[in-house]
Amino acid sequence: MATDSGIGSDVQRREDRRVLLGESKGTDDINVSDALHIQFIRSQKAHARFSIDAETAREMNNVVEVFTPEDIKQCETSTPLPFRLFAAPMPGLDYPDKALWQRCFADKKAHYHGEILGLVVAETQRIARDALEAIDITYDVLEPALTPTEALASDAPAIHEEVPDNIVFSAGQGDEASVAEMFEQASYTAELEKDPQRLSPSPLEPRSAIAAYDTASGHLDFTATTQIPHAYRRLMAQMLAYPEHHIDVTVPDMGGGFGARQHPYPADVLLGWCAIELEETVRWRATRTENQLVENDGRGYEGTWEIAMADDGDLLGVRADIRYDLGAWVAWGAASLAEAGNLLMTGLYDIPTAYSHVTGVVTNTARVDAYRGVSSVPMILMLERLVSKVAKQAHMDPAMVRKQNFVEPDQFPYQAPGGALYDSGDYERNFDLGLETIDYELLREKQERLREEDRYIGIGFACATEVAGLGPASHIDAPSWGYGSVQVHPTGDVTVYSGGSNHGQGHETSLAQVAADELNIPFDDVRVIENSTKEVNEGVGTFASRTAALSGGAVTKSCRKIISKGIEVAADELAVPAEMITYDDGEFTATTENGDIQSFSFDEMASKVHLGQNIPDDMEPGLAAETYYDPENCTWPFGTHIAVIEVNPTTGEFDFLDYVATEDCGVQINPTIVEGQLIGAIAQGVGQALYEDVEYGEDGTLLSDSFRTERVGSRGGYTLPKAEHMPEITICSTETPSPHTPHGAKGMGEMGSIAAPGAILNAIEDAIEPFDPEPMTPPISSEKIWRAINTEGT
Amino acid sequence: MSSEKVDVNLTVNGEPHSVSVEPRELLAQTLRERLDYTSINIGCESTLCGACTIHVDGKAIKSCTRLTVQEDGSEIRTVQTLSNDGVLGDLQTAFSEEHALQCGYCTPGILMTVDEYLDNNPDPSRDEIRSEALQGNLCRCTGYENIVDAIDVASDALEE
Repeated sequence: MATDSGIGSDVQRREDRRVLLGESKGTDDINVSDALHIQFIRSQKAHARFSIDAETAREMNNVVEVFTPEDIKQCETSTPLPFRLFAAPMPGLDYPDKALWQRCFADKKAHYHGEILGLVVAETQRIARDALEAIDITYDVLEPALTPTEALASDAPAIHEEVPDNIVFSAGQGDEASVAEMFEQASYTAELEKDPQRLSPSPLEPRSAIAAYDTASGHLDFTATTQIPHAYRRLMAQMLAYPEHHIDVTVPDMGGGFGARQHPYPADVLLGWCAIELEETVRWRATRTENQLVENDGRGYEGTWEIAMADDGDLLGVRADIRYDLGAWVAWGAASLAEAGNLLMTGLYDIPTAYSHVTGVVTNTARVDAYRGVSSVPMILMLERLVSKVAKQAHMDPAMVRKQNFVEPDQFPYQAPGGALYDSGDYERNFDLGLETIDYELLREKQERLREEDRYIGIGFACATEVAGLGPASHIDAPSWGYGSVQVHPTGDVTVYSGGSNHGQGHETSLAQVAADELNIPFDDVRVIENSTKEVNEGVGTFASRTAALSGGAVTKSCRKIISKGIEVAADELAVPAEMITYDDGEFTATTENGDIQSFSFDEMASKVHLGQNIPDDMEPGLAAETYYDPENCTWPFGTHIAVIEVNPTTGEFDFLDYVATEDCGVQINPTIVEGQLIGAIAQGVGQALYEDVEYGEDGTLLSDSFRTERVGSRGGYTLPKAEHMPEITICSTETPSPHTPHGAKGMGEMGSIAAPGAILNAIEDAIEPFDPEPMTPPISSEKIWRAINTEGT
Repeated sequence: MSSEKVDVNLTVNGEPHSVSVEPRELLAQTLRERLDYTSINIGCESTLCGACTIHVDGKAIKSCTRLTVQEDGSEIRTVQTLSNDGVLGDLQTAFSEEHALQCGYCTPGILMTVDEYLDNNPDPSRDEIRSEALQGNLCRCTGYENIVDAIDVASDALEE
């Protein structure tokens, strides 16, 4: 019954209709007639002592309050606590000093451009902005340190007095000695440096929030742009020292997240504090500039990566020395991100040993934290560049070196030296599909032929995996289960409550497919609810490609509990042992010994259990099931990305000729959604490879504080890829189900952004190989290519 | 800064409205905050992302950098005019069928941009869709491919 819309079907998304009709509602679209408006006083300097004179602003008409750090500290009723999020303690890494956890506002000293120094509350947003301009801030400017290299210099300023050397953590992971031995044995080694390119996740909707305090009930109600409604509530309770059961969080339609909204910000905490303090409803909407200033950046790694290869092409070891830019404060995932990177140091290859040394450094910049693909991106990017580079050194085909070194299907579960236990895979089959789709042999011939005509095309590979569906609880020092509860109504209609947080991923559709498939009922009979602590009991949110595997897994398990109960009811109704009941096509069926067939529909069963009459004596009425699904392991989807790019060596200009991605994310719930996620993530990878770069001026002023649409080598603005910058992409897939998720799905939201940068860089480097270019670091521009080729006279 | 209010008459989706606004108030703000046309999204405040695109007197414009006082007497259309009593128009249907939206924040602006573009160029090539039709719009979710597909499909439907 559910086969035309169950798991594996290309069902059109339900969430589209309200958007297309212009009826979707985001946080800032919600009309609250009596809300006060907040604007934050933000530091204009990256590193400075400051004092604030707010007297003029306070006296302006319709300005309700101005809070400076002194005022916030003096309030006895509720003081915002230091930002206290859970960084996972990890082997070899010290827990970051609590003094470095992010504060909600700067006190006497500002640590980055955009840090909150106070707030203005006014009757309207425009008045609040006028008041902001009337506030006089005096700065005593200090020298900033803007990159790990600058912050580690011997004469670098101390950003926090608790860590005079600016080092928050420093540790090695892996077997350094065995890696060193491999490098001694190796016939070929390659090395690459990486610049600390920072990316801004840049969801198109700027952040906003509403905090409403109800005096009568003492209830604090948030509406917010967050990926984690329930965790947001828990963290607000902790930071505001307010009872968790008196806080609610609702997330309306949200214009993207990409990891930047998987934890609250100081602004959210101060909004809650202000609502309680004033006993009012307060709201805030970031401008684009404000959003770019303070929303967390991603990546920010710099360092050196190396690979060793034997004479026969076997990869022997990888090592890296990585300096990780944390920004001015230690964000919640900082230490664990470094660990997650080490997990993937050997990628899809059976490389016997790996070692990384990670140094976490504070700088006078906005915080760095999760962004789509997180630290898997630089690990896979650098590994894939090194594999291609070392293959070229040995005059071997980079495709063949990859095929030779893949972990083989009979090696799963595969224990990688970085600590990951890969659940399942068939990497070579997936890779071969990519080669076949792009017509690899012909392409290489074409490349040779074109070189004779002075035209240069390059073929670039990146093979990647990602940590999707993060778990189990025993390995993660933060809640990581999937939540899914299923309520069967007496009519047989079903409501699914998921602990995920849909903001473009299509959960209202895909999780309905999961339930319809598992319960064998029509897709239209299932509705999915997320994004509200009022409606959904619990949840961890949506990030790290977790919802398909974990919420999907939880929903699947809840459905199975319901079917089990249904079988008991049907056995009782049909007066046969439960073992004789089968459930198919929405019917519980018993075939008796003499061949009589009796059946009992899902709807009849739902109605009967709801009424509670004539059900087994020891059974409770009602039909609902709740699951906190703690997975055995993460899931490890994988894929092959192949870019074909032509470069004009005279000008450095380049064009995509082709792009193929072969995905394997286990069982696909909705292949159209999978394809859409993959292409969207590839676009973000294109941005990393070719366009995007967070830029600070020498004094620490953020230059890339708005969007711009062309990258012409000038400074200022953050360049998101446009339609004309994207290749036409061919997607194909293999399917290796996860052996441990209940429905075989793995999750896949980040694969494109993890794999695309490596494929694109390798293609460009392959194209210009005849010119023996200097190494380049992303974002690659025509100018960089030209300079890499034309090393003389520059 | 002058805050003396100015009376402005606007017709939005066929309905007349009179508003009294400060000279500095932006058209997107007036339409969103005073008249509740919240399908107009403000992503960049700088005419770069296109999420606020609407039609003013038949032309697609970015409403985040227009002053409301400039638009006295204007006829304005938002994405709501592309459907009819809840029935999606061809372009909207193509967007849904081709999975051309994810978070949907850019979608109303893109629909209004493309609605005008197809009036002038009813049968664009894929290259033209990328480099002309979508020149002024950013999407952070989809990678544009499915948007290009949807416009391609919708333009074919227009021809029939």
